[in-house]
Amino acid sequence: MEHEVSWGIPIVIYLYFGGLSAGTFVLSAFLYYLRDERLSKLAAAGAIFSPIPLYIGLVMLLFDLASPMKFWRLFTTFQWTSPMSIGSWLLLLFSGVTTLHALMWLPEKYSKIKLGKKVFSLPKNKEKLKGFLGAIGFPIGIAVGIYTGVLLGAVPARPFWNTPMVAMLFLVSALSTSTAILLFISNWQSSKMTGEAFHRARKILYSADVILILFEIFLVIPYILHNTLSTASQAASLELILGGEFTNLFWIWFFAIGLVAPLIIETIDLIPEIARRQKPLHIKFFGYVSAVLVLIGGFFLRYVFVYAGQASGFGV
Amino acid sequence: MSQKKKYGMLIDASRCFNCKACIVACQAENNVPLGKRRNWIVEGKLRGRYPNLGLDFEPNQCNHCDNPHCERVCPTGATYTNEDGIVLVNYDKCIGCRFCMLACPYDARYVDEERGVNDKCTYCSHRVYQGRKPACLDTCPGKVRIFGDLNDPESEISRKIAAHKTRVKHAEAGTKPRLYYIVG
Repeated sequence: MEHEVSWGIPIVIYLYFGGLSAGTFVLSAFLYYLRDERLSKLAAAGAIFSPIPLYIGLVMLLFDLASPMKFWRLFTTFQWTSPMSIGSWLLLLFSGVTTLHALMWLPEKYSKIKLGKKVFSLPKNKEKLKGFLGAIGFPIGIAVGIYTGVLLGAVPARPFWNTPMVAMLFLVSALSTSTAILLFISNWQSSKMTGEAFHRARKILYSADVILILFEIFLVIPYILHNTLSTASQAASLELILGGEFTNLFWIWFFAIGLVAPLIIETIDLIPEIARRQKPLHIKFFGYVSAVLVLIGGFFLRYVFVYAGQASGFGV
Repeated sequence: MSQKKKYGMLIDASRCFNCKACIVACQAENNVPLGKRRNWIVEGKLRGRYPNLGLDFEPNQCNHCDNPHCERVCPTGATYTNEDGIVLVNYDKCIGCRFCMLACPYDARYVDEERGVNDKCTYCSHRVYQGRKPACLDTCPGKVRIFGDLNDPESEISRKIAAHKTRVKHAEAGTKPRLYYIVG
């Protein structure tokens, strides 16, 4: 019996955007914690960007429900055995924190917000609040990034998903794609940054992304090895990406284009610095290319997992 | 007897010849939307050598598990287990997120788009509480299904389970299903 696809593109986008929001928040909070003036533009970009994909993702999630008007039912109960219930509360908390956090980072000219006739001014001691909200939101952001993968992994009926490695892979991918967002923004806004700040931002983003991509590669390989040696249904589910319907999407679009290619580009850029302690190349064009490749890969990771997972099962 | 009831079902698949009367009865009884099903029949592979050929049919439906994964993952608590073991949906609480469909190893849940909920087999609880049998039993010419109280050792289902070798589906999923199949 063919079973219908329960979760489609809206869920793919929601999982992707949820991860981007959590990741850019976490990176922003971390960059702020470094207290490096050269990185403040980057921290601001992450903080202000973070709520945008979250709202888009939540709207997609809402209208994917068969009864969108009943969504409030999620918040009249707490079901600790349901990853979705835990995630709903986490997202509620996180959307509040990231929204307030973003307001603190808005440029000075936006510090008064008009709502109808009322004018709200943002508090004066923004620096303290940036630190405070960043510290509170950091663990919540990590939890949101993990949750997007736990949501899939906690279902034994879908062997393709049913390993804790999926949650880790989604978290690391969320951080890597968020690094790509910041890379893209820093490229785009480089004329407003000093040369020193641009190089500092580049070095930290490339280094972070190289580490994150390596983590992803070394989560994908054990995921494959682990499932090959696991139960018959898990081993069989791997067929979906080892010769089956999702092989090209996984190995070309996610693994080659989304991981290996940006890893090579970013490493090449860092080589002068690693080898001879010279300034890295920082060719802007390559910055755009690797950012876009990472973002494409992140999308296909979610796409393949959401669809392939639903195609896997215990059989009839 | 003061002990609580625990409803279950036993299927003798060897008596099924794929007439699908159970599916039609269920759809009519429960207003199942067109194109959806609460029960279905899996056709096996042709076996044997001509002229001694055989074909197996396996009726399927919700297993009303003791550890229902659809209930475990439900974010609003809409899916619940009655004290008599029947797994039901509170339609006021269900938001139609479809997580239950993904969590069920038997693919027993479906979306009712019109009502905006994820529905399932109820063991025809509305009939059972009137002392009648589920609709899929009434129309079955092969008498494939036996429905009853597993906690009552004198019930027909308990006696049959004691007398036959039985199996459940996908026990490895950890759902502790309560839909039994006679083996052999």
